[in-house]
Amino acid sequence: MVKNLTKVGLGIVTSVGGFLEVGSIGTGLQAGATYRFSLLWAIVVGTICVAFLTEMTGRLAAVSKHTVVDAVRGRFGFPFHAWPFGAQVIVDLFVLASELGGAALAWQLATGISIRVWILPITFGIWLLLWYGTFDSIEQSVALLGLVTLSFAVAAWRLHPDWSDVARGLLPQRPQTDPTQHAYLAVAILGASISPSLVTFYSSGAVEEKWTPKDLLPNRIVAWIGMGFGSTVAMAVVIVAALVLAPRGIHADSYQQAAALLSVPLGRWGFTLFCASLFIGCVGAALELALDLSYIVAQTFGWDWGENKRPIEEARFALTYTIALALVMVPSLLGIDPLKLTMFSMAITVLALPLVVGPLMVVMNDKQYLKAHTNGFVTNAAVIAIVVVAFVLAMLALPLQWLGA
Amino acid sequence: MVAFVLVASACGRDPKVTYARLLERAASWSASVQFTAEMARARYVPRAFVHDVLSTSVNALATIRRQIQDDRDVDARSRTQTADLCWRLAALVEEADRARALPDDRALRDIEIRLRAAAQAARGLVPLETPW
Repeated sequence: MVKNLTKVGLGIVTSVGGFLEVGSIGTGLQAGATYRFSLLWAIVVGTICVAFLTEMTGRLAAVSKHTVVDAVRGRFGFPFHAWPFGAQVIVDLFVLASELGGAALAWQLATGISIRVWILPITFGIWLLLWYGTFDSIEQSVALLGLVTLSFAVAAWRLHPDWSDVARGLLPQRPQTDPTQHAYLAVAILGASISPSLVTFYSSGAVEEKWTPKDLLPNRIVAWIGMGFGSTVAMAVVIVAALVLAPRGIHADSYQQAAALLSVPLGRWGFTLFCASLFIGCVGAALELALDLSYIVAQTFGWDWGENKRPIEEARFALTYTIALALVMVPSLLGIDPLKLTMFSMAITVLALPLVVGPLMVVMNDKQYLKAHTNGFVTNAAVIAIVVVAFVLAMLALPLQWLGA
Repeated sequence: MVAFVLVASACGRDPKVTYARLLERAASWSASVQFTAEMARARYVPRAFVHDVLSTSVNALATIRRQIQDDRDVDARSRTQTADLCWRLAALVEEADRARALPDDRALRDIEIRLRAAAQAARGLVPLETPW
């Protein structure tokens, strides 16, 4: 009982501390600054979907001892699996590049020294953590540090928003201007919330931690309560941006425009807390993404894998995150704006969702893998509906935003 | 799929909205510089950050100005006038950055108001009454 409670508590802390990263900060700032509370619904929808997905993948690992990648490859064969695998590698690389850019930008904001200077030591630091750390130590330490992101929730509370206005934002509404940009931001928020990497990372972690069917209840509680609390932090970003940036007419096209926003409710500490939140959130997500890339590549090709093993025991696993980290430094070294890269990465994430979630849904309804624990109707209907709506919205909004208006 | 994307983008493209967005982005940079100056006066943000915001805004405004000048869907007079506002805004910010000082809020606010009025006119929300 005590062990289970500790597990649930740690899981919730991990979900809250790890929820905010470059995608949720970037999209939340833009959404709040431009459309005030009217895109909060996208965070709610994204959170519902991601809670279902994490619960599902945890259940898959606990019951079948398979990761998502293992199960999809086994169920459909390698030629089919190559498609979701390819899509996820591309998305992970883009998002990892965004996270590294965000972490380096936090230092640029604090010191005025260019991200081109910071990107190398930060990437090296992340690589060292991966090389010497274990799964638990990385997950828990970064998540505990990630609790600094709660400063957004404190800031939102101190700004005394009109809660009825905030509540109205929980329902989708037609914007007064620029519906294309509104839809584009909704897609980006959904992409930031429903990350395919979370699906594969969570199941790999569960297999590494040797979950059993006894873990199903803690898994369910962590997925729903943890993600629920985590999403309130993401909503707080939108609320603070809506109350500080929107009235001043600041659109948050770059992090520089938004970095001082916590100073209004939190005074002298606000700027430091913003930089710390951005840095820790991005480093935490970068660690997860680099590991996720190694997990999916190793599991796809049948290599030894596991962050709890020493690099010498699974050299190709360690080599994968080493190569990935070296590759994703390039956009920051070329001077590509981290916020633009983030918005692009979040948008393509939504386009890749059906490829990753579709096969997973088939596996989750297969009694050979899940026995008596296959998905129920509500889970199937909710996840499929959200992914289809997000994909259709992306297909309509992205071309308009990128090529047209 | 490609055809759908091209048709969708062609139908969705509204030159006035594109132009208005450019002007709003320029106005947003003006507001950001004023906000940063306000926070710097209260000693809530470090000097390095102020310099970062000022230099980033100068670069962003130069890009916006080029985009306005290249926008052939807008009449030449409007383009010249709004591009000039962007240039004046960037010059004010650059001068302050070079002097390691904070820019003149009133001048920034004045240009911001003109840019926002031009953006609203471009969107057809209010008649343009020569805001410059």
